[in-house]
Amino acid sequence: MRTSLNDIALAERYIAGKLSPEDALVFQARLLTEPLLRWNVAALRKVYIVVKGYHRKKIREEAAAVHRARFNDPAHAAFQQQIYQLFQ
Amino acid sequence: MEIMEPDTLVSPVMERTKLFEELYTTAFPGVARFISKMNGTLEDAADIFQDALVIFYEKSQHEAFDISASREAYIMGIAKHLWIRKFAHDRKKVSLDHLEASITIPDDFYPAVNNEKLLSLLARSGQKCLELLQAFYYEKLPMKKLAGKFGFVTERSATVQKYKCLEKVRDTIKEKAFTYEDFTE
Repeated sequence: MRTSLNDIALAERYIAGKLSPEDALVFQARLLTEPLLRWNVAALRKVYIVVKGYHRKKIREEAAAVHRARFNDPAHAAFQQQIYQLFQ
Repeated sequence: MEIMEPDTLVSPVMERTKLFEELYTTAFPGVARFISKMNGTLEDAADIFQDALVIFYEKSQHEAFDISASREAYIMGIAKHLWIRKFAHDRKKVSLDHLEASITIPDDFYPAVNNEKLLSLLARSGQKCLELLQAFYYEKLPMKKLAGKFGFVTERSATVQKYKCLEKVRDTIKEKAFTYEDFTE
C-alpha cells in the first residue's frame, strides 16, 4: 500500500487505541512534528462521525419504510384503525 | 455445488426489518397513545417512534446492553425522552418511572448542522465509499463478504479500497474544512 494509505491504517489503529504502547508513542511524536499528519488525523476522526451519521440515517429510513408499509397494507386495517382513533 | 453459509442468507437489513415490524405491532400503539395524550399528531408519533427504533437498535448492538425490562417498556422510555427533548416545555407533564429515568439518549444523536451538511454532500459525491465504510464498521461484514458485496476480487483489494475510501472521505472533509466553522481539534 502507498505511504498515505499506510498512514491511514496507522491512524485508524491509533484512534481505536489498538497500537502497542511503543508504536503509539512514535505516532504521537510524529503528530507533534508533522502538521499534515495532525490535520489528517483530525479529519479522519470526523470521517468516523460522518459514517456513524450515515448508518443512523439508513436505519431510520428502514424504520420509515416499515411504517409506510404498515399504513398502506389493507391487511393491517385493524391496526391502522386503532392508531387513527387516537388522533381523531 | 457450493452450499451457502446460513449467515449469508439473512442480511442485517432483513433482520432489522423483521425486528421493526414486530415492534410496530407491539410497541407503536403504546407510544402513539402517549403522543396523542401529549396532544401530538400521528406524524409526531411516527417521527419519535422511528428515532426511538434507531436508538433502541443501536443500544441493543452493544454487548453490555442487558435489558431486564421488556423491549416495549424500554422503547416507551426512549420515546418519552425524545418527546421531552423536542418539546422541552412538556418536561413537567411527562412522568418517568424508574426504568425510564435511567435511559439516556446518545449525546450525538442530533447531529450538528455542519455534520448534516457534510453528510448530504458526501451522499452525493461519495455514496459508494460511505456504503462500504458503513458495511465494514456497522454491519460488521468481514472483509471476504465485503469483497463479494462490492465486487472486489480479493479480500486484500477490499482492504485497500477501505483505506482509499477513508482517504477520499477524509479529503472531502478537509476541502470543506474552511467552510465549516466547527472543524477543530
